[in-house]
Amino acid sequence: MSGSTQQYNFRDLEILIVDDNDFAHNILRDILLAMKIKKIRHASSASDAIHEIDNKLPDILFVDLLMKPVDGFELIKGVRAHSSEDVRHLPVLVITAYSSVEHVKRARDMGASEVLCKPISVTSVYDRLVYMRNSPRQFVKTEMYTGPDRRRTMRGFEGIDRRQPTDEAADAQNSESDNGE
Amino acid sequence: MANRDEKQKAPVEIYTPPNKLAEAIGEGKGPSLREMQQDAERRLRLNGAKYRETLKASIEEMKEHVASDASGFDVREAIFALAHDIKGQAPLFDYHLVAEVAVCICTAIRDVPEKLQARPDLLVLHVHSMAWAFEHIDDASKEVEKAALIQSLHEALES
Repeated sequence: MSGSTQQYNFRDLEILIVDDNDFAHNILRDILLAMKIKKIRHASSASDAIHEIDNKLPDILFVDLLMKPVDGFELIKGVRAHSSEDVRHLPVLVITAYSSVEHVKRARDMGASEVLCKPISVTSVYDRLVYMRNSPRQFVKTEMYTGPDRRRTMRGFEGIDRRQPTDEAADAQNSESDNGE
Repeated sequence: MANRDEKQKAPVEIYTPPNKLAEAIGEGKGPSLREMQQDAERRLRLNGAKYRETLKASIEEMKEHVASDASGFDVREAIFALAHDIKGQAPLFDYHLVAEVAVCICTAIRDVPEKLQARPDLLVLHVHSMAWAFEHIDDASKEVEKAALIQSLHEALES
């Protein structure tokens, strides 16, 4: 995607970053400012995030997974179960240092739209936003789950942690390729 | 079997929500990706000194944790959270070896918690290895030791 000559203008994009680590927020903010994204809001907890969303709906949520007292998984679950349809439909990009198959699958099962593993860069954020813009996911609504269709493999998961190659990761990647839900 | 039949009959609605990202992200007229990368590099460079202090403080906090009770569950969780953040942030500021040690710490805490409880010296070793990697980040005379550090941590866990 980043090899394309197509240019995009992110100026009007409004992002809510949910991360309880101030420095992580600063890094992400710098990257977004470099992309000329000015409408950046920050929530330092899941409850703050819901409050912010209820006040004004952003265009997309950037969610960290390891937070306290409520983690990012539960936040995503709460967003997908929200009483407002607009909130339930929010694109959710998980940005996390978790890179195991188990965590990526769990984020997907909670209703994440895509996953981006840290460390991040302008290129990775740009690629993921453009991909989400150009390839919106269908939603599935059942008694048990509302959220992006989990049968499509998330692009976030080229995802084996190449720093820690394991048999488990290789097996899981095969099962992702098989789309084994 | 009955449950399976009921599950199969449960209503499933598949639909495409409005694509609001397409409305918010316009085509054309934006800076090029190269320009964005250069701007981000400039901004991150400005944060480099601040990150060094943040990283140093995190490592000191880890050392305090292991000095208090390296075998405790709460201590391991606190160290995991700190190492997890370092794993995601340190590479951006070129602390690659520190980040690799952070990966080792996270992996050890999640994969072999019983071993760390029985052998708290292993967690102490990992934390002090991170401190060493941080202190010698620019020390060219320690290249051999740096190259062997991660492997030696793996071997320590297997011992």
